[in-house]
Amino acid sequence: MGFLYQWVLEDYNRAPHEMLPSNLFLNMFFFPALFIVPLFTMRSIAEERRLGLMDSLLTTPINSIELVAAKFAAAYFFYTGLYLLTLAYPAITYYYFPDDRIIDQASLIGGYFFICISGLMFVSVGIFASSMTRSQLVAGIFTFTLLFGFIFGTNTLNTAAAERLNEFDTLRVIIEYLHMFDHVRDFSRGVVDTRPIVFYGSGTLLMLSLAVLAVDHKR
Amino acid sequence: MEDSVEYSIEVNNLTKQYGRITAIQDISFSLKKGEIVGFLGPNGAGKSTTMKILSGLVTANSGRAYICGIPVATHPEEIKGKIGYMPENNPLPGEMRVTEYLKFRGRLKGVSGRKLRKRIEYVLELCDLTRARRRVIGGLSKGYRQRIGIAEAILSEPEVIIMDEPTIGLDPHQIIKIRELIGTLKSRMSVIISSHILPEIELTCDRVIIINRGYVVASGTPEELRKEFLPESTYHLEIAGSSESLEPEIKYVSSKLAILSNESFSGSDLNRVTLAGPSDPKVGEKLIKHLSNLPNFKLRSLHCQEATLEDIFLAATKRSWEVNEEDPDRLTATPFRKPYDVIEDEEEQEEEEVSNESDQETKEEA
Repeated sequence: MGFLYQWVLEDYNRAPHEMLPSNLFLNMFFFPALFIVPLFTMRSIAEERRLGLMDSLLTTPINSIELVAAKFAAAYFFYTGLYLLTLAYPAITYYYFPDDRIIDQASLIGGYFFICISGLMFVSVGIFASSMTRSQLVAGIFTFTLLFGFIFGTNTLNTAAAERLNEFDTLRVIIEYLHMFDHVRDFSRGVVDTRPIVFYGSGTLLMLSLAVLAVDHKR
Repeated sequence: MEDSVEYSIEVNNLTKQYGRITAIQDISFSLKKGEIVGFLGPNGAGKSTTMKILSGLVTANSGRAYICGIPVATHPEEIKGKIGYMPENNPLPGEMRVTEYLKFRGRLKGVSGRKLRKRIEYVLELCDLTRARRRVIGGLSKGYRQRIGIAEAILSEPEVIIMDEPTIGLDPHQIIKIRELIGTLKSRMSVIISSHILPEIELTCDRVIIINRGYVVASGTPEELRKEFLPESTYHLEIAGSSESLEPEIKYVSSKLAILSNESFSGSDLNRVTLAGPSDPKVGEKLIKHLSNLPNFKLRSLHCQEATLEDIFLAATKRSWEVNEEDPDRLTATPFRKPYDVIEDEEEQEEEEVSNESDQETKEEA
């Protein structure tokens, strides 16, 4: 992620941009997430199952909901922790170029809030994929595919919908609701919209519920 | 409910099917508090399935299982606090250290703080793991790993311990150690152990339950099963002299004695004779007395061998296979129940009739 920020700064060196460097960096947060999330989560449940540790875990007085919640919490806190460390990048930039225009608090708060909110769903997708299989590799590829499909698939659909459907068409409204790039843009401008929060929150619950069902079913 | 609390484990008419395959069929048995019971059966007999149902990992299709009087199916959380389960192959996380793992498991089981530290010290001592306490589990030998599994199972002082093949893959020294370890649990905890190593079961367990193809085919103490399945003993004799007139002399001692084999060695007059006869110490005494008085024989040795648990196991499982061959369409073996299985009075009578019938069938076949 450091290299990504460095690349953003180098790009600013070459040509002027409308957005702040930290803003542009936040707009591209999903590139590292696409690799980080599968790597963090693929082991969590798949490995327990492959080693046969699932049986002994589930004979302790914990149930599958607690198990999935604990696995999710562990991966999620690591994920958010890793992203929060990237707050150092604008701080370092400010240290060397003390200019008030470098740091926009509203944009940083909104952007990192979005990373935390969307991270809930991204990590839950990884936990769900890990609960479906014994193989870490399959879980990792599955997570990557689902996240890639969600991030870029909705973008492609959104472009197509903007060209062919009128603005109030139900399908277009639904696609726009799911379009992550719009969410990122809003939040990194400091606009906190409750609709994406509901979307990512309910998506997380859905994925975790499916993971609980998978754990119960595959005993 | 009041009556059932005297039993640590109570299983009534448990049936489990995986798709079209019946893993266990109508299994009933019970364990009193502090009892150690061996659970035997050939591969695929349904031992692991029964143990998984008891520990709440798998739900049965029908029947009831109780742990300390609490139904497993409806109160899985409650019973998990009362059991220590050591799964088949004893999977352990390779990257953790021994005490770290025990601490983690203890906290999962609701033991914490000073009590947990005390318990960990106790189980490390009991399972002879003190020297390996700081070692990484992945680098430990099979014997250590099995002992870690047992230490983990008894860590939270559960009332019931369920062990699936605890002595598999161990060397004789380790088996003796684990046997002693299980012996120390006697009367404090109820233990159900499945194993293939039958002498182990005979030495450690108060009672044995044998299942085959999903049915309980035998249940009782090794002595009771011996009387039931193999009431005869084998006598090994070494006799010097001509063995031609041996048979009438043996029949003179007891008409129930029969010669199974007679091995003579060329170049010497030694004969090794194997007899089958009633398991009665008097028969042995009479044999010694009579054969040593005969002028044409010299009795060099006599050894009476009672049926081992292995013989009983083979006889009990074979009996159920043989009955099954009558009707090849039936996938399961014939049930055999002893009256001390926990069943209600009416059912008990019915089932006794069933077992009598099946006994008659086998006798007819024989």
